[in-house]
Amino acid sequence: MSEPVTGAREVDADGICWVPVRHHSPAATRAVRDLVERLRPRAVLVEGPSDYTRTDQLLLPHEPPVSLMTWWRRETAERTQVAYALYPFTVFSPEWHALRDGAAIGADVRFVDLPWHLQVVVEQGGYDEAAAAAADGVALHRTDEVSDSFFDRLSAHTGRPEMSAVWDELAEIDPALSTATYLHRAAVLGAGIRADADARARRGARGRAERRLDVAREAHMAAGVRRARADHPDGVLLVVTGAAHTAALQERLAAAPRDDERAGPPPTPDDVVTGQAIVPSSYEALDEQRGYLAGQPSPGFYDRVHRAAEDDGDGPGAVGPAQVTEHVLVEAVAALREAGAPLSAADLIAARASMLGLATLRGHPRPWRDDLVDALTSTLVKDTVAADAATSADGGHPLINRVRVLMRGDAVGRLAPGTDLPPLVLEVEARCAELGMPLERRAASYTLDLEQDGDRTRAQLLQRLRVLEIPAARLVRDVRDGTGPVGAQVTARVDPTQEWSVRGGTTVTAQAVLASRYGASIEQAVLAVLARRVASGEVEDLTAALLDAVLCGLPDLTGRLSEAVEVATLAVDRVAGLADPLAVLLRLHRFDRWYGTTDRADLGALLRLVGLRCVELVERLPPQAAGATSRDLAAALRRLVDAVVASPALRDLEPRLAAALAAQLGRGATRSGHAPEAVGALTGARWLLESVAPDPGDAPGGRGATGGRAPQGAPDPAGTGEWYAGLLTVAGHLALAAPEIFDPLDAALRQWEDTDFRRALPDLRRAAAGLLPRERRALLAHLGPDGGPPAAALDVPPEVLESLVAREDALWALVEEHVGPLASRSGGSG
Amino acid sequence: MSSPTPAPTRVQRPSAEVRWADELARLRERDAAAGAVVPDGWHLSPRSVVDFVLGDAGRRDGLGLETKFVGERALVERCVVALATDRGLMLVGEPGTAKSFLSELLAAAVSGDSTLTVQGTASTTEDAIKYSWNYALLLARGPSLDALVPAPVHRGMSDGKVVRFEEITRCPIETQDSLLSVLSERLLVVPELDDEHRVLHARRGFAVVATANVRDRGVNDMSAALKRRFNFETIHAISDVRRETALVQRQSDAILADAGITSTVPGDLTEVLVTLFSELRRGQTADGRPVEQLSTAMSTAEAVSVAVATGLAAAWFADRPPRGEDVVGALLGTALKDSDDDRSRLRGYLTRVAKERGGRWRELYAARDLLDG
Repeated sequence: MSEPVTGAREVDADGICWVPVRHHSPAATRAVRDLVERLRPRAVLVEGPSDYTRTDQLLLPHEPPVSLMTWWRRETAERTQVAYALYPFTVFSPEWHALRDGAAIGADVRFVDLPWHLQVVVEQGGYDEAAAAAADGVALHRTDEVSDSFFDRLSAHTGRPEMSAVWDELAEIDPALSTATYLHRAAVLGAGIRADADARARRGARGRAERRLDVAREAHMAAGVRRARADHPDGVLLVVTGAAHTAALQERLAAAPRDDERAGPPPTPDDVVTGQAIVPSSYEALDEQRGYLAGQPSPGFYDRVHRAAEDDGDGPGAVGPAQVTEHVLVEAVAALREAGAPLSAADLIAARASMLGLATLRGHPRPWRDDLVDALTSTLVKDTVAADAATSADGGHPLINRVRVLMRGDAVGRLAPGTDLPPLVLEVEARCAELGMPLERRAASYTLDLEQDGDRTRAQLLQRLRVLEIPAARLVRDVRDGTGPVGAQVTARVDPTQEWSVRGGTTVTAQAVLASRYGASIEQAVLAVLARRVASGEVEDLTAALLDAVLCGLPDLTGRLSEAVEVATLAVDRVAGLADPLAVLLRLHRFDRWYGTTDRADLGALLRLVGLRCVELVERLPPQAAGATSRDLAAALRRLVDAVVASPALRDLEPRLAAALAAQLGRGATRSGHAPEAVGALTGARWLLESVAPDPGDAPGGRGATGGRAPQGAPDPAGTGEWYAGLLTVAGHLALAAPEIFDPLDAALRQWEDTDFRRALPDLRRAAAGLLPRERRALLAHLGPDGGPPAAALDVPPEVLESLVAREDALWALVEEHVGPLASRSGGSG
Repeated sequence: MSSPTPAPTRVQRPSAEVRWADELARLRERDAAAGAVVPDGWHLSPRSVVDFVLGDAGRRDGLGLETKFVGERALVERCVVALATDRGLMLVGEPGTAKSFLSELLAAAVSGDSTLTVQGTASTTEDAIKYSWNYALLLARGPSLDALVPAPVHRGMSDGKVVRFEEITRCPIETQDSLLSVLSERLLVVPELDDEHRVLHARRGFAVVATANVRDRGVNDMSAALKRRFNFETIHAISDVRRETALVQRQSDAILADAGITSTVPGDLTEVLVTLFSELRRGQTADGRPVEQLSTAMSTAEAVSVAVATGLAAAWFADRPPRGEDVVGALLGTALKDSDDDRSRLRGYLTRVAKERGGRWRELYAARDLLDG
């Protein structure tokens, strides 16, 4: 595979030097820089949006990675659409250097690709269809194409299944690859990919759609090249485009202009406004985009490869091209040790030997990143690795993930001073001013009443800024909605106002610029940030993200968010794990006062998803151990039953839930292995569902108490306490509604010895503590007059009482000395 | 020392070096012609070992080597490098993922001999691993080389060959640890023998390939000291549904033919079966919707069993070509073990996923009630 190519001309008969590239490639960058230096072209034409004329902005001294964001906005009577796309540039992007090196030698630098807002029209047929598809911010330099017959054979030959790995084999790994060989291989690869695309177009609709877009873009680019030639009749033109386009462009330029070139691009409708801006990007963002979307796995690694090639081992601390991967190996081992992995020198030796062995076996001129990752995986990981390790977000194993994070790098780009502000920043300032909260240097205070529409809109805007981590707004005081257990109002003092502190300034602007990498508009950016948080897969993150979505006033949570909820709930295998999301959703869907979420269809759908999953988990409940497991189950059952009873979205699940509870209880104490507290909780849940009336016979010892049934002997004291604790956690109000369930307990208590009573006391106390005062009073009233000895009246002399109170106060003061002020304590009377 | 092997056609399952003897010969010739570097003690160059295991279909300069192990090239390369750098190789994975087969292929290619195998069980002792004695000779003439009965590790060390240790984690940890000095110092001490023969140094080419099944005991039952001496490779189920389908079809056809059944499982039914296995195994459908996984491994080997059971049931009991309901019945018998939850999950899958698809999927959905029986 290493035949140097000689005799091929770099510049064709028309004076054009065609440079097929892969975006974000150190090898392509080297070739481009070499060609610009040697050929001194008159014009440098780059694949990028031709409607972007502010190349002076792009040439400012930014620190990559940065992206050129291009967006369109369309206002119609029904709605406003906004969509954006990104052209990322890194320090190892050939286009980045083509522009800069070209400008440095005084060449005319231009973008020649079809503007994105017109690509959208070609691809989707119109703006109405377009917005839905493009809501995610398509990144435009398409790099990893789908495999097909040319690619399949190339893949079989190189032994690598993915495009980025194949490209590495052809162009990146050999540090001494000449420009001539690079051009030859890139051209052949590009032509082959194009041939595969043609084959796909002949086979199906999707292929034809892709082809249509490619053809439209090439027509526009060819016209651009001809125009540049007309403007610069002498001298060399350097044309830098993705490899798949090069052959097609050469074909077009070899003949007369075709009809589609002469026709020009489709016109931009009057109701569409377009714009571009430069925004910061990050290696993290680049690494995330895979496959069809442009992106670059492990950008931090390629960054080092590029810098090593530029420095070529000169200067202090410089790493030569051959040593890049070895340096990364040493850093990776250090990072792993720092993360707590016990790696010895012997491990490092083994890893290095494996890395070098793999590089030799694979015929690599120098060890490469896949050699490194494979060697580390093989020598250091001592358990199983997930199947999709190569492409999964977390690397399939924590150790590999750590290495991937290292190779990804954490660089974040910075815009040079003097750069125009991105659209999101302008929108933030405009909206704040429009709503009467201008961003000024001095902080200003605003009290917002969430029951007023206007103030609610203001609060939503400020919440959005918070989610985007733009420090323009700080919530000084939140609402007080006085709710305790679901729906029950515990205090009458409800305060619907919030107090916010709002300010502007350079930090705020800087953070807003940073946030602009998430979207061209505030709403888009918030959706993107929340979607990322939800994608973490943890149920807590999910709940928090859902709440934030509501606080931000996002109109519709279906789509991405609901898919993520579905995935996250299926991953939970304990009812207790879903208690919080269920409670939050129920509250929002049924009992919300201020956020406009009551009875919303999308929230109802999410509530149903989570509720259904909870019922399934109750059906499959494994034996619940005593202690935290049973306590969590009781709390979760309470929420679940409340949700099923209170929400129309879940009402039809009631029979299924009742059946599940009955089945769990019917398993019998010995076989099911449920601890008493769990059994109590299940019983309470069953009673709460309207279809079943409470039966004192279900209580421990209940059979004996009601007479006529087989007595079970004096019930186990510890078990009884736990059973009631579980029951009352779920169905405390039964003390009010059906106090006779306590009769068996009353009877049992009289039979117990002191030691038995003490054993049961903690759990009984816990059970009773959860009762509301009214419920406690009702219980006492039920048990009271003829139950047990009357309470002896306590006769305490006043001076004794006084000294007791004084002593208690002194004790509390001592505690506060050590612990800090306590929130509340009842003084003296208890 | 072993009795003469019967001719390959009479043997139930010929070992890899016998079955593919001609491929190995061609690869040796190619190595010699190209002057390829062959590590000391090996029969083939590392590159040729990889080609032998994976085959070279689709390569213009190929030798027409059959694809034997379906998996990633990078995985096989790592395995070969582990053996070439004198590290132990540990293949771990779910049951039915062809770990033993891969270890057999590697041994056949590297050493020309895949029979030096220790089968790990709870009662495996050092005798079965290192060496034991011919007690009659021992008592008659005292300790000598003649009286020593070499076990696979001894043979592998003295001949410079790959030794395979299947299901190593089923052995007690103490037994496993008897490999520690063998792997580090590459020597074996036989204290009973005289000075000249007491220490056996491993010849070049000696290596150990172990396998462990994560579902039974897993690799937690291995001492850290021993783990350190191995490179671990996880063998996954085949990720490409097309290739897996082809494999299942091939193998089930062969087994049904052996059983005298003339009909086979139709291709579209096999595809549905393999897709079902693949989706349940991965926990998501082909278009990314989440699916609840069963508690069993849903391996390719089990898919073959289900396909065979399907074919047999249809042929013997229904006298018609196999249908979706036969697949569901076979699933009950083979893939689902004793878990009620698994039935519920499978039913959920049929309701959520199979119901929406056409063709054979509808037959499966229609038969979902069999799961309750």
